[in-house]
Amino acid sequence: MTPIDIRQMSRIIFQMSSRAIQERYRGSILGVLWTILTPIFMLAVYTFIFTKVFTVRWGQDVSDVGTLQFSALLFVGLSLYSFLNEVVLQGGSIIIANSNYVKKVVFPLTTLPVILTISALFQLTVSLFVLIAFQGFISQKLELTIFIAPLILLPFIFLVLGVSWIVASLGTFIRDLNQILTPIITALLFLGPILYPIESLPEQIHFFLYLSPLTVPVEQLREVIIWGNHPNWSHLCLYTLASVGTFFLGNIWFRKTQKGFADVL
Amino acid sequence: MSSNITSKKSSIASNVNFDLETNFNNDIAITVNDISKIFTIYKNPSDRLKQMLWPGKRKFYKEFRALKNISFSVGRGETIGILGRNGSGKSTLLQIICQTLTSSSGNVKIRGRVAALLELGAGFNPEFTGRENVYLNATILGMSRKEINARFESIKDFADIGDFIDRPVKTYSSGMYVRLAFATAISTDPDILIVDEALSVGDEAFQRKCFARIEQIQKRGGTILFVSHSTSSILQLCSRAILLDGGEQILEGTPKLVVSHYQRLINLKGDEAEEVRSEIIALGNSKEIISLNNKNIKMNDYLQKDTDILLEHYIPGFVSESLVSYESQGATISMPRILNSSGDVVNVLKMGNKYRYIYSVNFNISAQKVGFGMLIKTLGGLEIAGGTTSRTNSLLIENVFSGSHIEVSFPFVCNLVPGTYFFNSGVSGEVKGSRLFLHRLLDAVIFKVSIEPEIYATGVVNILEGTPSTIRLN
Repeated sequence: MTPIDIRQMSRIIFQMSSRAIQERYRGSILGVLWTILTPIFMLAVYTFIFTKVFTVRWGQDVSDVGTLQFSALLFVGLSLYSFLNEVVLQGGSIIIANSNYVKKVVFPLTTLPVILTISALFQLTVSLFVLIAFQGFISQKLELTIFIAPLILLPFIFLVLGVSWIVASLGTFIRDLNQILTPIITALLFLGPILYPIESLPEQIHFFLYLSPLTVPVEQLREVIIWGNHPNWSHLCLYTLASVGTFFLGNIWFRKTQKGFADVL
Repeated sequence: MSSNITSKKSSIASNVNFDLETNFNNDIAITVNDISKIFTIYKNPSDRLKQMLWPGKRKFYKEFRALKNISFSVGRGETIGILGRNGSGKSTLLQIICQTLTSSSGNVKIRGRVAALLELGAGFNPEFTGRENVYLNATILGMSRKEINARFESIKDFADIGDFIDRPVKTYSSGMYVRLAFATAISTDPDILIVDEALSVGDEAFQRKCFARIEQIQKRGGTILFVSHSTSSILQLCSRAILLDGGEQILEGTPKLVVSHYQRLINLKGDEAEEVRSEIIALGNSKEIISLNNKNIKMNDYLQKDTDILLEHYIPGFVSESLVSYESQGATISMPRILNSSGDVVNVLKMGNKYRYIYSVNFNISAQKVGFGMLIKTLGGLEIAGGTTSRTNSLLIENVFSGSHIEVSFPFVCNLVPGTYFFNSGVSGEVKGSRLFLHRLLDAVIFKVSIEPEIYATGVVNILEGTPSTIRLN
């Protein structure tokens, strides 16, 4: 790739992701305001359901966690989960949905999952700011450790993008992929510490939980945003390695298989 | 054809093997080197993946050969036309040149920025306004935001869609859609323009505007690759033409030569087509044409003569498919045909030449005051000219008996502009005191008037004598 390619690609990425973000709210009365309103409503709903309807506790540690805190903890997990859900699930059909770009225009197809990721990232970022504000409101202070959050989010985003490249390519050739992906992604919601802390499960099965791409970022993000602790650096390092690996694997796989797209669309 | 835009800047082809050699000749804009395309047809999309991953040589597909060993080069500033029947591989070839499709073997080298009008508006999103789509499309075509800002007004003017520019594209008429897409594609100031039939959409005024823009690009030294079924635009715009048939390049030469062979081929099917095709290939292999390929555009005498013959000839498969035979009232018209001055049957006529329209009539009743008539109509049904023997007493045949056989001949000069026409035939007479049509044939014969490179006549009938002249008065 020459530098011109990269400049050209970044122009396309910029143009198309800003368009994709606009597209979500085009025609709605409140427009982009929904990016803020949606997470606020979500927080309100969690707070109500998990404190009034089901009286669940956050792990064994009862004393520490108040009602509002409980919502914030859930919100971290669900924000990351819905980001992954959107990017991976839509990634599976993104090439088929944009077959014009494959067959009729000379277009750098690798950018399509990137555009999808950026558009979902916009929502994730806004959600996390809402969370930080909420956390500041309930605990009346903000932990300085929130500045470590980008170090946790970046490997997560790159990993999801890598996976998105792989499913984008596979989904083009194997049309049943989306039917397979939906239950797998739903399983991730329950088989990781999204709705509960990892400590509430026996130590022996922690290893399996760490196979979920969500476990490390969700756990660590809770540490830095909510508890004000430093992240578990060794976990984070391992996760970053896995993320970089997936990112390159996905990219290479996508570029290797994309020449076959035109034959099957 | 659905409309769409395809275009590329040579440098953004991240997904194709783009071959730019450093020692590449500067005067050549496009080199197509031995391109073949075999479409692989997979039963399931997943078979395509298996094919890529399978270690051995197993085949998961069926093959379809769309192009076979195509080679040519286009010099900087040249305009080349590509002709061929439907399914001859023209669009596949253009897609490979634009790199939206990869070839199975061979390679393409391109120098300069390419704008390809393959399918206008492919990148348009119907939910977004014209303005937003222009920005997005131009970005895909390789322009920066600054460049687009600078050109936006001219794009808007060219498309000429008024306030619609700020309305969603889904509210556009198909004409507006194409106009905006064309305006965007052409605004990139391409060094190489690739046009595939895109101009056949839009009204005439817009088409003229497009042609003017194409000529402007030509004057600036731009290279144009042009696919069209409109032989007149090929003759008007191109300096060279290539004839494709069945995925093979069967002839390359002057537009005049290629157009006339294309017209011979176009209406044929099966064996007849095969025959003409091998004739053309043989012609293409002759020495004269090879010298043409080496950019020696001047035609020699042999080819000139050959072309004249081609302007007037007989295409066996070219027969009227809309023939209507009226109920016979006692006579039957048969064997309607056109003969040239040497007595051969023809159905492709040359402007200005003399011909005879002849048909025979068999009578199975007796009739009085029998007259014959003919009429020429355009493809659209407009009656242009005709002739009759029934209005002149000296030509009327006073008594025709049952069992007679009469042949009638109308000599005429082919003063028609190039196009397709029909002959009607009719015979009338008095039977038991009342005058009636004994038999009529509508669209009895179809014929074509060949396109010539220099035509001054407009409309349908050529009334000009010689070449129009101009005198400077100051």
